[in-house]
Amino acid sequence: MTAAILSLSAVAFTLEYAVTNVANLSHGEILTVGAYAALVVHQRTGSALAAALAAAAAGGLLALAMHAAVVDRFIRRGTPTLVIFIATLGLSFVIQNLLVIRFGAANVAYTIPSGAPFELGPFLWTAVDLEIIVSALAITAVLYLIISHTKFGKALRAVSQNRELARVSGINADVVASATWFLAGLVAGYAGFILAESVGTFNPSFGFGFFLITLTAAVAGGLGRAFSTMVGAIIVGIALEFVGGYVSAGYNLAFAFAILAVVILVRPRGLFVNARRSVFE
Amino acid sequence: MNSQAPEPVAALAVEGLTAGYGGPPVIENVSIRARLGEITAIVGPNGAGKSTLLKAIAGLIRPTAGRVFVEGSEVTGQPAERLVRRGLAYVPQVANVFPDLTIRENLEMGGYSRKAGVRERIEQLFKLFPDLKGSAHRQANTLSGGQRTMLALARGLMVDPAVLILDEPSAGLAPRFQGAIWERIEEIRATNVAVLVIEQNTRETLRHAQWAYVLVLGQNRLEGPGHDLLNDDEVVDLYVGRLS
Ligand SMILES: Nc1ncnc2c1ncn2[C@@H]1O[C@H](COP(=O)(O)OP(=O)(O)O)[C@@H](O)[C@H]1O
Ligand SMILES: [Mg+2]
Repeated sequence: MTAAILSLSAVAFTLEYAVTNVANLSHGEILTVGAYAALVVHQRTGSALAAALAAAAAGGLLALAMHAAVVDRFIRRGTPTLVIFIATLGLSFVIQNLLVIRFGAANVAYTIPSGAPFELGPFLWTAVDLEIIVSALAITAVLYLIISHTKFGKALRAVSQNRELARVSGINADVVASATWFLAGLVAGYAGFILAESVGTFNPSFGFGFFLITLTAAVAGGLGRAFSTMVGAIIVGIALEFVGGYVSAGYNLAFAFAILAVVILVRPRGLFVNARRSVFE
Repeated sequence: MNSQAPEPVAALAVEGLTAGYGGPPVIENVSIRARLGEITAIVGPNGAGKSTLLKAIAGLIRPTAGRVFVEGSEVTGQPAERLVRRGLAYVPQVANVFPDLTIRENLEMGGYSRKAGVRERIEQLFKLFPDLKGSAHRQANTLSGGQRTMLALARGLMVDPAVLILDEPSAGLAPRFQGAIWERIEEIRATNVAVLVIEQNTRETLRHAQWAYVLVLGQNRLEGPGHDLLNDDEVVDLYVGRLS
């Protein structure tokens, strides 16, 4: 489960990075806001589907706003990337505190009755597990098709590889970057929903904790490269599940950083970046 | 009265352009013209501001003074992505292809602003650059330097530009590739494109250029037909060298 959720979160993060060169430290809050949106809508409508859509929509709009109000605004002024990076950290705390004001700092429960577990292969599954895996695979497939085959997807890659050349080719890089953040926000908001479903409780710093693991996975795979990131996320996710299952979930973060440290020492540009034929770009 | 035919509108006219990167201007009050079916060259020492001039024309940096016209209509200050639609294509000196896109995708991006005919245009350009056709599905970063330059030219040509601006297309290439690049540029010129080119190899460039400008310290210094400048003592002393 962690692997599936992590790969969605990490791909969204890496897309944000790809078109702006800014590591968005408020990425976790997209997941958190997605989770709260899902909770609110679920309570009102009683529909998990409506909750999922609300999470994605809230995430998309939040990411769009982050890009327009902070990231793009600073980029246009020629602000150094490091400063923008710090600004997104500030934004993260602002959003967390707004959530505390609105919803309180305490954990809220978000449990969906998932029915009796059943056996499939060597594992025990619940309906929620299945929903998470299947939806993550479907979203991944759709993202792959968009990024590799559509005109927008090619423009996205062009902007990420060389913004000036994209512009002189006639691509409006600002529009492509905004649309990419929106798309990433949809995915991250939905990831917040399934993470909340799978954990069962959350609070305003919920996404921030998961973001640290997301960062590990994205950097391990190769930042800014959608499908390398995804493979990195799956490996880190499976490793974490292993540690969580056999040692203690309390060591998750420490273990994630250990993986990151090893990767940075051995392959500073990411596990798959120098592979002759990279999975994607 | 001497009734002279009115001079045809220049494909590209730059008048008194001043631009830089936020600090003091790098180019000041520069004026140039480029005509359809001609190669126009800009030569001058390193750091003279040649690349900066091209970036200002292409809309990547905003001029602080002066005007730019494409085929008679003013485009001053328009952003790069809009200028492509006005028929102005720019090929930067370095980082002039999308490394992780395939050759075909690079060309598709070059034709991003076309409403139709992308596929047909790619086929036409494969005739002009046969080397690219065989490797259409390879990533651009697997190409040799010469092939990469060909791809960069072809990407710029995707929009059927009236004006093609080239920043040192043969820089860093082996001499035999430089010759091939000049052949392509001559072929492009012959299709009635206005080619504006910067080059390091001043002698070779002046041989090809119908008209050339010498830019020094960000300002116009001299201009004239390429062949005349080749015989100009100052130009030869400063930028060509007597033995080269
Ligand atoms: N991106 C930039 N930011 C600031 N200054 C620049 C930039 N690019 C070039 N310059 C400066 O502008 C001047 C002219 O450079 P350039 O236009 O590249 O000259 P040329 O192409 O004739 O060699 C140089 O002094 C260079 O340092
Ligand atoms: Mg230059």
